[in-house]
Amino acid sequence: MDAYALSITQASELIAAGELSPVELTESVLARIEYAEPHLNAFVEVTADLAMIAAKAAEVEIAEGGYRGPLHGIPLGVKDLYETAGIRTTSSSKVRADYVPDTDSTVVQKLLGAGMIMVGKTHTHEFALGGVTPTTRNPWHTGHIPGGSSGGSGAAVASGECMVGLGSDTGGSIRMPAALCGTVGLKPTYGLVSRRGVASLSWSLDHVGPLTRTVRDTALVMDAIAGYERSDPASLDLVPQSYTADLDHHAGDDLTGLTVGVPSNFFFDDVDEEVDAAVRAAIGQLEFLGARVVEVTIPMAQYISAAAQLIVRAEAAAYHRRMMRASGDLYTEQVRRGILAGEVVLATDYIDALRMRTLVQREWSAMVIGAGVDVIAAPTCPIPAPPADLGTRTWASGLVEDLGRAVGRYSAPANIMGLPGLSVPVGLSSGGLPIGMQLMGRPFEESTVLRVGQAYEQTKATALPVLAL
Amino acid sequence: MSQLLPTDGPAAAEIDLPLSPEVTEPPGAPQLYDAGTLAALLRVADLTLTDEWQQKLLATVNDLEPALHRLRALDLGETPPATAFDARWF
Repeated sequence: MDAYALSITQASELIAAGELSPVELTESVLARIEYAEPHLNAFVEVTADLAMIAAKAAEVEIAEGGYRGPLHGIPLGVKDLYETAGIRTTSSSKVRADYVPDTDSTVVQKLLGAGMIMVGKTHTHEFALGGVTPTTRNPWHTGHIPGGSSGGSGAAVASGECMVGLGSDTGGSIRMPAALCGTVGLKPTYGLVSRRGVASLSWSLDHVGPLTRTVRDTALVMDAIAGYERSDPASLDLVPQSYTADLDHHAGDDLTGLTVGVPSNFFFDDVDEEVDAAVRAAIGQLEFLGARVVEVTIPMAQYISAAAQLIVRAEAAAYHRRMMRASGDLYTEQVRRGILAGEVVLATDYIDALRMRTLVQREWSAMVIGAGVDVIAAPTCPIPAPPADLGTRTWASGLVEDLGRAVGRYSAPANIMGLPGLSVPVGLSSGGLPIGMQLMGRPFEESTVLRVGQAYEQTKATALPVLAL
Repeated sequence: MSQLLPTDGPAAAEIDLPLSPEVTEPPGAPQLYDAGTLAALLRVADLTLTDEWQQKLLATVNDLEPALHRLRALDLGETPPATAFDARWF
């Protein structure tokens, strides 16, 4: 197997044993990038020279007994919303085409401190305001979108261009590209991972987290990036935990004692037949593994997306207020329209949307506690990746839906509630496109979500392959 | 290596903020934004847009109206907003 195709867990074991050097691994990944990028355009910028310098330094450090741990020497793709010292951070926008930060964002700082090798900056839908990532294509079928807004990271991880892709998730932007590209993606609980140095879309709903090829790889990254930081006002000071240690603790266990809630409304409304079948089959696997499966009703479903819409519009307009007046013509048209719309949302409506969020949270927690649910399992997206020219679909309900919007229809609840949401691959459509299952847990119960995700993952004969193009 | 930044095109045309299908305009709901209202709000916002851009924006804000109607129909009582402020100094 080529080194770029390894999981982090596999590669780190080889590096720790001296059987694979960070230089060999980085060279393999950079060669893969050179091969795949003409097809995918997942990266805004590839930092090959810097990566090789870092890889050589890691090789020397490890040889001298300075092994830092399982992320040492592992290639990293950084979504271009994350500030990187001395490296352009464009948010995939002409507005910030020449912006070079002086410092790293907190998550990048932590991962580089753990020894990761940054190979480049991955594309985002401009300023994270979209689920398409029009710059980039899906490695499973380059005529299709990768999803967004962390579409560059999704495409890069799925195709072997890096082993971790950083993402951000305000309305599904980690989980959607994970589902559509066939990777694992975790949106952690609101407040668990610092957002300092990551361009904001909506302070109230923004989350940052990883996309990887396996659940355990996600746990490895979470071990490094979770933690309190005062400069993020949402950050919470909690007792640190090891997500990999928890997975190890439960190694060999089945899912007996855990309860999986399956929504009877909202999440399976207007869903593609193949997505429905794949996710229900995966839920069947969870039951086979010993989980109790119960039906749940999503409360206030009709209000969740409405509240998210108003909060994101108003906060995005505030964030972009000065840039929009100085450089409005540099935004792509639809992103500019989306941001400008927030300029005319009344403050009272915005505040009432935040009040509605409180109500929805109360109802959701009552539902989860009342049913004794540990995780809710549902499709991540209603459809597999649509074609790059999008189009519409008419559902049995009569709804005519734009496919660019459809991909994000199931995402908002985890953002509004701030809950951990993990997308894991559960199969392929007849068109050969990945399907993702979303596992939503209780707040700060990432360990449970990861445990369920890994238990499912291990029922498959092999992990999803790193793709040939 | 690639340094392509986005341009407008078919795939750039959608925004990742879908309303659920249930969020539809209530019957008889008044139109909140028309050209005149929008122009007035843009003046208050100190935002100068061409006529062409005001037309484009009007279509976008009209898409927001179902969310606004749904929100306003709900009695929030004494519910506080989901915001946080930490009074401690850095």
